[in-house]
Amino acid sequence: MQIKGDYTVPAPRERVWEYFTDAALLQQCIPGCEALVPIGDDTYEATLRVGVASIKGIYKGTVKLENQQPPSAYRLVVQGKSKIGFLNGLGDFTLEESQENQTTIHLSGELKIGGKLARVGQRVIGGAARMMMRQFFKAVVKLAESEAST
Amino acid sequence: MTAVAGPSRMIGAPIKRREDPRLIQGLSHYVDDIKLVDTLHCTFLRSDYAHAEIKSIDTAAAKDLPGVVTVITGKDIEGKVGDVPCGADLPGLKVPDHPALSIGRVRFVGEPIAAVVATDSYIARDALDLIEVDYEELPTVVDPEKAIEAGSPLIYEEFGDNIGFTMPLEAGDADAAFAEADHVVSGRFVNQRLIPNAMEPRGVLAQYLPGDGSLTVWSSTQVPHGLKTNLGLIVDIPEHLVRVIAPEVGGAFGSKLNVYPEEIVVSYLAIQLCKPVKWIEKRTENFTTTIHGRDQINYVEIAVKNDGTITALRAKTIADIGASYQLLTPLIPTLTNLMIVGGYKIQNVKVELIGALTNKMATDAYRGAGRPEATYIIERIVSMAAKQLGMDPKDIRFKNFPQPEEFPLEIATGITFDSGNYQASLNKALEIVNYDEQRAQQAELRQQGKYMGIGLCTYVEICAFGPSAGVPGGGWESATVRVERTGKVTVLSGVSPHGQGQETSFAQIIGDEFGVDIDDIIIVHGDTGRQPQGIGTFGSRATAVGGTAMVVAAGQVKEKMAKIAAHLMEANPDDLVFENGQIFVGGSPDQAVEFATVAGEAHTAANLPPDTDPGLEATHFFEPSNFTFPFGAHVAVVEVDIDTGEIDIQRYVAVDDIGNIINPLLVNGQVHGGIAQGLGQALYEGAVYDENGQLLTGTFMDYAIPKATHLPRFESDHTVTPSPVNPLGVKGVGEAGTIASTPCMVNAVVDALSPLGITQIDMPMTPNRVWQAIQDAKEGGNG
Repeated sequence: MQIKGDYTVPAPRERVWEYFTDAALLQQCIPGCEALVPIGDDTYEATLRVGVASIKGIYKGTVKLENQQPPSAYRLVVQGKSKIGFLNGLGDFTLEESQENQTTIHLSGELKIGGKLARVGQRVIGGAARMMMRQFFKAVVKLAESEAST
Repeated sequence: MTAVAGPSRMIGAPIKRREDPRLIQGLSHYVDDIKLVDTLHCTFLRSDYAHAEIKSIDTAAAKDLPGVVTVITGKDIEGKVGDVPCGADLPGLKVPDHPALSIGRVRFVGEPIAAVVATDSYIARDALDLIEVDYEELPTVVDPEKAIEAGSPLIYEEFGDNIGFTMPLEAGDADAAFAEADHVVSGRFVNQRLIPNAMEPRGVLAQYLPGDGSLTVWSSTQVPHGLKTNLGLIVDIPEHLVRVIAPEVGGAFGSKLNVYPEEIVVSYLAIQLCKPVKWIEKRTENFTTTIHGRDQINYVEIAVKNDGTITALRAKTIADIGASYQLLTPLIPTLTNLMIVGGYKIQNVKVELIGALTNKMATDAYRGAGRPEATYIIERIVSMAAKQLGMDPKDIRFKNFPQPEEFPLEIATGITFDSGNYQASLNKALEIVNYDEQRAQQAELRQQGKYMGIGLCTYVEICAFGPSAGVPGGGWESATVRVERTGKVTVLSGVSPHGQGQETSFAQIIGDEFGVDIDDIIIVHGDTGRQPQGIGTFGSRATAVGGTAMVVAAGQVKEKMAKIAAHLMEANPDDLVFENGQIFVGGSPDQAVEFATVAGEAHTAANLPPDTDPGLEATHFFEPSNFTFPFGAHVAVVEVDIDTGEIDIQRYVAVDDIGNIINPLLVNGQVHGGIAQGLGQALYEGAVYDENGQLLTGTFMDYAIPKATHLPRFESDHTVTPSPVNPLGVKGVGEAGTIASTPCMVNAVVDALSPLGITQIDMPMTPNRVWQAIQDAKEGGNG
């Protein structure tokens, strides 16, 4: 499954880059993220609680940042599994300074799901992924706005 | 051989199913209803990946869960139990290893990797979540046409390619006939993968008694005897210590004509643990790991003369057989080859069949098993030819039918059709549907911009499997008929009905033979402990082969009873008639002896005629001389809404010639159910895997089986051409509806849309697909 999206955050590109590489900030922004523990080599151990219909459950796995070109691009590699199957994905993020103090993030990625998750969840996974991305960027925007106001 | 004697009172009568009261009152016992003390519960960990290397399996946490008794993986049983068996034996067939629990590599989603045994099924299920499997994903191939290309990811490296087998078949000189043809008509057809979806999923309960070393297995199966023999060999228990019982079985449609990994593992565990072990399949497991049906792609062409005579057929079939073989996997598409000329005298045939291995569940027998595909191929291409030649589709069929006097008829693919009168069934169907009027109405509606279509299908199918030369494991059937001391009749059959209603129809046959009430007869089946030898119920064989075995055995018992009765009455045994529970000299019913009295005399044995042994019991093994070949004509009338793509089925007429009919109610039930499943394939169903080998249609939310409201009223009728290969003259009806209805529907819909230039719509003809075909045709027309 292909995932694409463009998101705008009211913050300079260098700051957005920091959001995306700081485990504590990321955990704060990723919906349902219960743990994001750095285990070295730009890799994190993640626990994610998803509450959407048939793909509900706790997903555990790893998140790895690859091909980092600060502050403009990186690749996110995700491998996770839950009781009902697995979820493997990669996303290429490019950060573009679209205006002063504003960064547009272009995401292009692909997601593979398997097991019962694929059998019962394939019709909702696309929508759920888009919803979670929106929630994530909403949280990032909020974070940027709160920083700007202080 | 004794034919049905006396005035027939029960054969042919619409007697209601004796099975139904227990079924509709919830009084039946399926595998899960059988409770043994101290039963342990088994669940299976299954692969989430379609193709992966298993780097490691960690079962420690699962084993530590309180209530878990054991957890086993493929390595634990390696060398201790045999492989999942494949009974097909084709020249050049590449047979891969097929361990009951995979070792080292998984090749389809749902493949069993580990088994958990716990004190209850919930704990067993929880323990599955604690097993850690480290997979390394491998490239996956799900498209059978890509799978057989060079460079495709290999399912089995040792084979060098993904071609499990090939089966070329050639008769006459097809190439020469094509060179001389006035017309060549060609098409590419797809028979999509289907999921059988029996109402009751599979289930196994195994009990091992260490004292006598016996293993008893209750399984929801169509073939308890085959399972008994195979299981004994696989888990190394002598066959005579293995008993398999198929209790009430809630449907199968071919999907339980098998030996499955779970039957092997559960039996092994019961032996190891010396406690009963039970596994009940979940619906989602049923979707992924009970065999699938169909899945063929066919490239077909026929050579036709200007007058409509079909002189030759060439075809290439790619059959998607999945990642491993179940019992008959490679054999099923070979039936497509054998039946590919349908009911037409096509002398020159050149066909090629390729079995393609893919990262999917194995395909195997599903209602019709290879013949629906053959019928779809020939009936579509013949209708396309009629269109191309400007002939009425009925006329091209009449043109190519053999004449009734030509039977028995050896056809080009080497089999011999036992009997036939194809003109009669087509004429009858056309008459019932008012064909000429329908065509007139179609012309009129077209003027009004309405899209009405009439589809024909004239099919021949192959039933009553044997003879043994054509059936792995034997094509015979056994029966034991015993008249008890009180005159009650016990029939023990080797077939294994699982919804067909043969506890009723078999009792009708025996009731007529002995002239006793149907309530005095029981039909025992599905238990190798009671009837040790048998083959099973599949391929519409149970009545033709199993029914004949019991009628012959009953004849032998009857002969002995006549001898005893004659001795009592001082009459000639040849003059005696069995009727209404009495035995009497023909024409003198007042001078009778009770059937039960003779039965009592046979067992008291104090006053038997000379050279007569006590008891009334006979066993017969019946081996038919040939298959039977039922045939018929189906006609569908549809109207297609070209704005929405929806199909309204206005008439569905089925004229099936299945030989003599034992019970018309049961026959109707089979015809209706068969058509329902065929229309399911034509309109709704399809198993879809994504490119990574994940089954996307894994629930009833995504896999549409038809409901009653989706189906039209079926108009079922018959012609009767008795089969000469069994004394009952029966042929088999279990699959006819499924076989005839898919091409019938597609022919009707394509006929409806032919003014738009549409020549083919692949199944399932969902509204979206039909609508898309209409849009494409309109755009093509405009462009």
